[in-house]
Amino acid sequence: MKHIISILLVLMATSANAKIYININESGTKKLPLAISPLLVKTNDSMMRKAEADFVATVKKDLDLMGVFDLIPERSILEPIGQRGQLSATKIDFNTWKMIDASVFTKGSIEGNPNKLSIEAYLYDTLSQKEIVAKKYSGGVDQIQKMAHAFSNTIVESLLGEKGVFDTRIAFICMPRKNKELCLMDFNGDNYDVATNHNTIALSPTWNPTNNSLYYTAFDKKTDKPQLYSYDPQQRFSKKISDFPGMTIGLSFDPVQKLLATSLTQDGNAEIYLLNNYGGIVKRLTENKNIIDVSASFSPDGKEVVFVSDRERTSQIYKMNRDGSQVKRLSFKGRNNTSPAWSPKGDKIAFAGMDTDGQFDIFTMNTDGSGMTRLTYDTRNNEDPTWSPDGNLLAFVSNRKSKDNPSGKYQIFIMRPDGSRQTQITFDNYDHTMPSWESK
Amino acid sequence: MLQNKISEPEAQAKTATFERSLVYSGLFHAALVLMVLGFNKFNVSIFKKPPMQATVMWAQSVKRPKPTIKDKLPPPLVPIKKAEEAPKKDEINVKKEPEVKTKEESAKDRMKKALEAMKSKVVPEDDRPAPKEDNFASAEENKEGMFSDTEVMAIQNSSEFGAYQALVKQTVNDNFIWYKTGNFSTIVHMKIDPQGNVTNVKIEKSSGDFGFDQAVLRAVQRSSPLPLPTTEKILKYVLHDYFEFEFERKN
Repeated sequence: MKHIISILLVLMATSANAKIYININESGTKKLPLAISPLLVKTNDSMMRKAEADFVATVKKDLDLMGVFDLIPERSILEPIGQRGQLSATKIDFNTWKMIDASVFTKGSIEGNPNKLSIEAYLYDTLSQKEIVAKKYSGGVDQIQKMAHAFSNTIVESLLGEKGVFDTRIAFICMPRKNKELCLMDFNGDNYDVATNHNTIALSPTWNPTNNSLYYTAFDKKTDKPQLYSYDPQQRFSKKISDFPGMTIGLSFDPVQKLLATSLTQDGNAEIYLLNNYGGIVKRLTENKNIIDVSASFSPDGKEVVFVSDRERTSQIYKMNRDGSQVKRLSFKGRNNTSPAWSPKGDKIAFAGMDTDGQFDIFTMNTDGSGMTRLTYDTRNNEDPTWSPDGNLLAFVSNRKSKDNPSGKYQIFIMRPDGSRQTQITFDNYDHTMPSWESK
Repeated sequence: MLQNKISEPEAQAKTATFERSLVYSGLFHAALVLMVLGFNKFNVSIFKKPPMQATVMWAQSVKRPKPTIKDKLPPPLVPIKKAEEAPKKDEINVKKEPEVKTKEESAKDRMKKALEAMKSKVVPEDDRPAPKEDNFASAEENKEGMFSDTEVMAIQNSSEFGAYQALVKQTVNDNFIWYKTGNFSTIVHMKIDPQGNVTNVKIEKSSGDFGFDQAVLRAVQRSSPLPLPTTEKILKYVLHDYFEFEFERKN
């Protein structure tokens, strides 16, 4: 015994840490200084100069949206214009970039003609004095946006480890005439497209990431009840999947078994079911008389489902296991909390909650209901949150009035998950609702 | 009653054996303690971890261009060679002799001068005089400005040091941006100079992911200069020892 103690003492005396140990296991809040310099236009042509400007502007807009980059204005760039074509990392004068405090910067060139142009684009690291992205894009002048989004994606991937979302789309419901139709656009509002022509009411689009198609519901003209449809954006083809006696309300894709969670009213009140690709019922998850259970949303690991229920009189957010067991209430503040969306990172749930002033605002909370955070303030209604596939952005609808939305119609906005950078991306003079960000 | 039956010499012999075993055990432990103390001394004076040298600045895949003589001011990340030994006297004598220098030699001289300039910028910790300190605690005396293990332990366990550690952690953490989930772990060693500038950055253990390692290096470099401790003793210790940052991302 004595021996053991003395040995222990010996060990303790010699194991003093001769270093200052610090563990870092989360992301910080400081932005990364990034400079995007103009491309060298090798063909002196007005169309090509415009293409160059479009490319650079799109990359800037994309990266700015992420909210993690501090974009250094072009006028601050010190590199002489004569050096613009110098794309070899061994010959670039990195001091001119260090002096403007750019941690990373882009350079590149554009050549060819408007029908067949090619862009070389590079991202350099001031610290390692090395190129960290080298890309060549070719195509027509009408594909400049695509090239720019692709370059932005690669930049984000190399700096943050995760591909950007600049090539993703958002599906939503628009009201170009009196009817509500399924619509699609790029994540930033470009390439706006009214996809269907039901002439009734389409609702609840949700992406099927296995084949980049969509599920949604639309009122059937004969039964006047919303039924399940699928839509293939490539073929621009929409197809009815199911014909339940009651209504089909709200959809969420199950990432594990590739099923679809929805609420059916065939038993009198809305209950949550799991359906297969053909609209067949696989499992019933909730069973409560006279209680409405809707708005199911799967956790990214598919193990849990968050949903809305009025089982305790007010409309609140609950979660349960994917088999319907272990129901737990998550929201305790306010009288009307709805449309929960589980973040793709798995750590947060976004939802819309009605304020004391009777207007909806967007909130997030941890998946156990703690840490509720308000993201929108005093801007009329803010509803229907949906996460970008990387979980770094949120889209939602708001009927706030501004010079960009004088009519006060519901427009789609995107913002960071902390509520910063709320950016309007639709501008038509009619309502837009139920956005659903393409999942990957 | 039974004990009474044991004869006196027998009893004496028993006590003697017991005493002897006590003495042996005492001697054994004394020897152990001496061994440990001696080892500690050796550890401090001879086997101490050699001061870090920034030989590899980046992930291994990155090749840095060699610094040219033209660079008047070395970029802050050029590997800083530590003063290993004072130049030998006879070498100096050789140097002093006037000679016709070829171009190459003069270039060499300029390199040497540049190196000296670099060295003078970084305070070599071995050059500092031994701190004169009245030590009221029973800890071993300081030698050559080193910190004994007990002192290091005392400093590292102090609340001021904890607060400083937290401040450094926050500063570096603020500059670390990485979004991808997954299992990553990179260990970086670095030192700071009396101005708080980050020096001798070295990747001790790579995560195997180039992007993650780069994000780590970016975070460390962007945090320079780091805040300095306000207590003199902790400042001394922080300048003397090295930092080990473990950047982790776990699913």
